[in-house]
Amino acid sequence: MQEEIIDFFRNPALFFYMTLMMTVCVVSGSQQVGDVVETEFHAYRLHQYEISGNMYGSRNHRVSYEAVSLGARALRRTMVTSWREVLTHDVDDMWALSTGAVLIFIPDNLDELNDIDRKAFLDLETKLLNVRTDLAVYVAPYNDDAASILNDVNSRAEKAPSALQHLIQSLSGNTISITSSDQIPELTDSYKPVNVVGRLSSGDRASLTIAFVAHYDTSSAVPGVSPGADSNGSGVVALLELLAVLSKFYDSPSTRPPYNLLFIWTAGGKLNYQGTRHWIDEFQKGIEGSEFLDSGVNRKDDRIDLAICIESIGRKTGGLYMHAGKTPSENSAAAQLLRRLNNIAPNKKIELVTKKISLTTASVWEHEKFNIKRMPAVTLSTLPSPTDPARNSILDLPSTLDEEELIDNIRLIAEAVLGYILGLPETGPSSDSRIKSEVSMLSKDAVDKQRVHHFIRQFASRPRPVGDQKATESVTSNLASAAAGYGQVFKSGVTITDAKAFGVTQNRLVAERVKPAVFELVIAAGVFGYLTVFYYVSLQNRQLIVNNFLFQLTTHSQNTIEGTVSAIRKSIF
Amino acid sequence: MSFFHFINCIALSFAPYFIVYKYSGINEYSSIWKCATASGGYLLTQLAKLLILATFFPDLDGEGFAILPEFLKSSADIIDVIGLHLLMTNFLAGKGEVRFVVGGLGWGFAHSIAHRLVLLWVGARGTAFTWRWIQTSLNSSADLMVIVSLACLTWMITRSQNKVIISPVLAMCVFSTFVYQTVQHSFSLYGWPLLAFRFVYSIATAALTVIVYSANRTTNARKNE
Repeated sequence: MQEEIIDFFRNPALFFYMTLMMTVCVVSGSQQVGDVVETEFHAYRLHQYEISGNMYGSRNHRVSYEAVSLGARALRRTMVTSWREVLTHDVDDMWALSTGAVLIFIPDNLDELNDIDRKAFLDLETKLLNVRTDLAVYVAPYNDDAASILNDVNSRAEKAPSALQHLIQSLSGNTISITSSDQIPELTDSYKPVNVVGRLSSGDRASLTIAFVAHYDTSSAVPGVSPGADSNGSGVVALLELLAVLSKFYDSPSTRPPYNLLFIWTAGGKLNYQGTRHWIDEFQKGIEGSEFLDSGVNRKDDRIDLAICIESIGRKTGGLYMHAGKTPSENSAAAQLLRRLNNIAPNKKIELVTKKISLTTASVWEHEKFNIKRMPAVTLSTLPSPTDPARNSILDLPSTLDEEELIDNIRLIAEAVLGYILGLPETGPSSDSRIKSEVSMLSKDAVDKQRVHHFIRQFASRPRPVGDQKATESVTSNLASAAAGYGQVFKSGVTITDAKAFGVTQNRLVAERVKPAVFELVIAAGVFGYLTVFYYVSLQNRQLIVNNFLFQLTTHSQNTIEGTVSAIRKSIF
Repeated sequence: MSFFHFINCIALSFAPYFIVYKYSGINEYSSIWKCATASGGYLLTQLAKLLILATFFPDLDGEGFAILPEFLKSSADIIDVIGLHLLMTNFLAGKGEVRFVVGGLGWGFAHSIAHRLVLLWVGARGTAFTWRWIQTSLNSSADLMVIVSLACLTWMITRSQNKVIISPVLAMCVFSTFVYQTVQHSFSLYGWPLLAFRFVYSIATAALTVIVYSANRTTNARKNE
C-alpha cells in the first residue's frame, strides 16, 4: 500500500500540478499584493455656460473611457495628466477632439503653492478659461491614487524595449478605465436661483433709495473647487455687515435717516449679472398701492439715488477703486460719495476709474446693468481693472482674504454712506483745514470682527456656482435667515434669459484597472490546463480506488489460497 | 468582470467536482442522486450549525480577530462531522469507499455553491480586473480535498479501533477554516500566498488521510486473517 502512495507522489502529473501552482504564485503574487484595483474620487468639471448663444467651456460630462497619457491623443480615451504637463505641452489640438475626456490632477493643497507655482497655476487657469471643447474635462486633487494612476498610464505609454515584452504588455498589461458614476440630472427649467433683498425703510413716501448690490455666486475655470472668497464672498459679507451696522439707525423713528436702504444679493452674477438685470426689471415695473411693504416689490414711483455695487473688497491691493461708466457730475450722489470716501480715509488711495459701457457685449461690472437702464450706479472694488484674473480664479481662497482690510473697507463705506444719508457736512464738522479731528458716526466696534469672521466662514468659504443648485439654495436660505435678523427680507426667483447655466459641476469618477480582452483567453487557457491536470489526478485516484479493491481481492484470495494450502498440508501431514 | 471571466471562474470552481465524479470511477458505483442527497444533508447541517452558533455565540460577530472566540466558534464545525456521519450511515448505500467519496463530493459541491456562486454572481458586476475571483475559484479545489478527507475520516472513526491516529487528522479537517483564519491574521497573508498555504494544508491533510486510510485497511486486512 505504501508503495502505491509513494507511486502516487511520484506521478509526473502531480509535479506538474505543483509547479504550475508555484509559478502562478510567484509570477502574480508579487505585483498583486495590496494593489488597489478600483478607486473612486471626486473630480470637478470644467465650467460650462452659454451667453448670447455662445458656448463656453466643456460641453460634456460623461466619462467612460480608457486612460491614456497626454501624448497619446486618441478618440474615445481619457487623457490623464498632471497640471504641469498641460502647461508644458501644446494641447491646443487636443481640445479639438470630438469625443473623449481629459482628467487633470491639480495640487491638493492650493494654499501651499509657492509664488512660481502660483503664477504657473494662474497661467493654467487662463488656458482653461479659454477652452471650448466637446471633451469632458475634469480636474481632481492629486493624491496617492492619482500618483498610481499617472504612473500606470505613463508606464504604458512608454514603448517596450523588445518585441516580446511588447507582446506580453499588450497581453497582460493593466489598462485603466475611468468612468463617471454619478448620474446628475441637468438643471431643469423650473430651477430659478434666488435674489435675496433686505430692506431698511425710512417710512417716508418721498424718500429716495440707496441700493447696495453684490452678486453671491462664484465662478472660475473649475467652479466646483473655487470658493470665490474675495469675488464675491467679500461683497456678500460686506453687505451683511453693512446691513447689521446701518440697521441700528433704523431701529427707532427718531434716528431714522430719510433714505430707504436696499441690500440686494443677486444671483447669476457671473452669467452676465442675471440677478441684477432681473431685479432692475422688477424694480422699474413696481406696483401701485400701499401693499408694497409686504410684497418685496417697491412702489412704482420709487427712485434709486445710487446703487453701490460691491465686489472684491477683501484684499490688500493698495487702494479702493470706484468704477463708473462716466465721470459723475459734481452734485451727483456718486461724486459726493467719492469725496466723502476720500475725506474719511485720507491715507487710502481712493480713485475713480471710468470705463465706457458696451451695450452689445456682456457687462464687465455689475453697475453697468443699472447704467444701461439709466440708473446711477458705481462699483466699489479693490481691483483696478475688471479683467483682473483674481476675479475668476480658483486661487481666490479664504486664506487670501485680508480680514483687517475687509473690515476697514466696510467701515469706510458705512461711514461715507451714513454721512451722505444723514446730510452731514462733507469735510467734517469744521471746514477749517487747520482743525484736525477724528469724527465718526460709528462706534469703534460697530463693525464687529467676530461677526465678519463668522460671515466669511459661512458665506465666503464654499463654492457656490449658479450651476450647483444645492449650493445655491443653501447659500440663499442662509443669507435670507442671516439678513432677517436686521431688516425685512424678500426673495424672488430669477429667470435666466439669454444665458444658460449647466448643472454638473462635480462628479464621482471611478478608475478601475482592467485587463485587455485577450487576457481572458490566457486565463481560459490556464483554467483549461488546471482542469486537465485535475482530470489526470482523478484518473490516478480512480486507479487508487480500483487498486484498493484489487489489493483487497488479492489479499483475500491470497488468504483463501494460503488457508487452503495449509488445510491441505494439515490433511496430508 | 467580463462574461468570459465569469465563465472561467465558474468552470474553475465547479468543474473539479464534475471531473472527480465522472472520472474517479464513482459514477459506476453510485448515482448522481446520492450526491444531491449529500448536498441536501449539507444544507440541513448548516442550518443546524447556524442555529447553534446563534444560540451559543450570539455576540461574537465583532470586528477584529481573537484566537479564543474564533476557536470556540469554529468548534461548531464539529456538527459537520455529526451531519456527515448521519448522512453516510442512513442515506447513502454501497461500499464504504463509495459512500464517503459520494458524501464528500455532494457535501463539497453544496459548500462550493453556497460560498462561491453568490459571490461570483455579485462580483460579476464590477468591471475592474482582480485576481480575487480566480483565487476564490481555486480555493474550491482545496476545499474539495479537505471535505473528501473529512468524509473519509468520519467514516473511519466509527468503524476503526485505531481512533488515536484518525482523530488528529480529523481535527485538521474540522478546524481547517480556523487554521486558515489564524494564519491569515497572524502572518497577514492575503491573495496568492494565502491560497498557496490553503493548498499546502489541504494536500497535507489529504495525504495524511490516505496514509491513515491505508494503515487502517492493512490492520483490517490483518484482522481478517
